[in-house]
Amino acid sequence: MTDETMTEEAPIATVRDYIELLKPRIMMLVVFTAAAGLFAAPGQLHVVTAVSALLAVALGSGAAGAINMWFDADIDAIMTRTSTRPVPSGRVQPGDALSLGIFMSMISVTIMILATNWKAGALLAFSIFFYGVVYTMWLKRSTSQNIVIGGAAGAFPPVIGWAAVTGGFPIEAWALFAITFVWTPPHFWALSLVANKDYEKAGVPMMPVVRGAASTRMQILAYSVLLLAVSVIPTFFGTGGMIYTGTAVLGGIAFVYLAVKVFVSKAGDADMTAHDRKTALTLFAFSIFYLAAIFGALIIEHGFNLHFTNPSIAIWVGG
Amino acid sequence: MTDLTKEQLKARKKRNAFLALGIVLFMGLIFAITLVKIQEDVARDQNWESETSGWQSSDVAESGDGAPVAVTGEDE
Repeated sequence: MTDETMTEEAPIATVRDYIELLKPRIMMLVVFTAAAGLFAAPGQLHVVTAVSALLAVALGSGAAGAINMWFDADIDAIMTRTSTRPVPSGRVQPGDALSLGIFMSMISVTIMILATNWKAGALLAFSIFFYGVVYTMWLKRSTSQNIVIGGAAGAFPPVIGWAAVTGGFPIEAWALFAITFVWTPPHFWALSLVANKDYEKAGVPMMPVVRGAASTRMQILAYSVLLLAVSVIPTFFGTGGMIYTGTAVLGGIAFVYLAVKVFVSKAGDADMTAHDRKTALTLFAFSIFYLAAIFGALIIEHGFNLHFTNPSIAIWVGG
Repeated sequence: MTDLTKEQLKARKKRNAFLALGIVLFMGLIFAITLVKIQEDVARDQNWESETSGWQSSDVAESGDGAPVAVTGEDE
């Protein structure tokens, strides 16, 4: 084989491949939840500072995604859903993905510290480390609780946004953290119910693979009920007003309803029908809409001055 | 050194253009952050100066001799 034929056959990495490395859909949700923390926190930021903080969060999320794609290239190549990703398909070299991840991590933390404060930068650095190292390199391949604990990485952004404004991590910020933390298991397990064969093939101990589909469906329901309860905590802290509370309660009820439908279905079982599969995927899709809706409600309330709390409910912070 | 195909060269040029754009944007962002920080510091200094000058002039008026007076409650 000549050099010429080798170059003819070598896959070409495009800009789109590098963007795919950064997991742009996750990045959008992460930036959105960080923006909610930024808006909900008491205080104001200059628009340049706020945009810089959100850019830093976006770059940090992308960096963690690139590190994840670098490390998971071996199992991504085995799974149908992920086999066309840039690294397993050979379009991007593993070393390039890792370099991009490390470089972007440093840039994102630097921007955050320069624009806001070191506490927000430190938490951003920790969240990149948590996703790229703790979740990707350790938890994902070692325990069925991988995404339960690993979900913390995706739950940090509202706290980072809050810290960017106030320079602190008060309990109100951790209430927003709790929402994404409890949301992650039912969100991810709904998808893994239909992709459990892939995970089994790759040897990833996802809940449906280790504990079975029935147990996973029950846990999805349990976490959904817990999510409904946790989502109203910001109301008691005065962070969430009428719009937020209405969205959280209605959205939470719809979430539980869809989780019940998954619970009574055979999603993830060997004899799963197309309808069961659709039921699980509907919950997965709705969960994304739900998270965007409740954090969107916070942004609307605080960003457009529509934040009306009920003083008799929001007693803990004197709201 | 291996010869690159036309498509590979085109893809590399495009990547390089995006890298250059990224560097320029990063420089612009750092510049903007710096300007905002300077602006905030100047505003803080002006506030501090106006607050302290007000504090001194009122103390001067109360004490009558021009010396700043510490608020200790001893006069009461």
